[in-house]
Amino acid sequence: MKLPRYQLKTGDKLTSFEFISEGPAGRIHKLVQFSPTNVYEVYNLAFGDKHPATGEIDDTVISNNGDSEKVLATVIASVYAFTDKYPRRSVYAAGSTKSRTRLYRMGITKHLSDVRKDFQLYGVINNETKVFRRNINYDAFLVVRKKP
Amino acid sequence: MTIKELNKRKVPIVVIDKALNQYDNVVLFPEKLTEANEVLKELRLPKNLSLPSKKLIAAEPIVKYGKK
Repeated sequence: MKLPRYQLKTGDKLTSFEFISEGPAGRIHKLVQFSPTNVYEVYNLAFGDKHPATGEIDDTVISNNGDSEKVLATVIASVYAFTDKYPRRSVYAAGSTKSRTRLYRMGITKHLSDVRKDFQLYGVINNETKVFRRNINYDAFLVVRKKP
Repeated sequence: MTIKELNKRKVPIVVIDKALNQYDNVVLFPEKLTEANEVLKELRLPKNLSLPSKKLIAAEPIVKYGKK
């Protein structure tokens, strides 16, 4: 994927990533984290804004920085980096609201052909995991890195 | 690695910042993780999914929850 994205920083374990969104609302520090779930080798992806003074994280705020596509491309880049280091790990992601999940779905659809080259991509709906298809309002997503 | 090889890489170039190691054992989004675990508990995975057999980890991981 060669879409505009922000520079990513990460720690030694590549489980937490930070980048800075820049736009009309200013410079907003964003954190992405991959956390182990109760299912073996399935990690939950979550991201939010970091308050510059307190360091508190908020995944419900609407930043309105006019760069949602670039932010999404950057988050996808973090998935590549995480699964490159841990190729056996799968990534589960859901928005904090239905409209956010829909936004993610639209973003995935936009990059679908690229993402499918490298990942098995699934949508979660009605407690079932189905191969991702366009225009379905999934509740969440699951990606599994393909073997090279 | 040459510039040409770097440009061909699919994996993004990331900068290691040891300050981010502070989050290694901290769950920054505890509510999201709880919701994910609730869904995953009931989730039926497709048969052809190349995951290791679905195995629920019995014990809760020992993590500190970050500030919200």
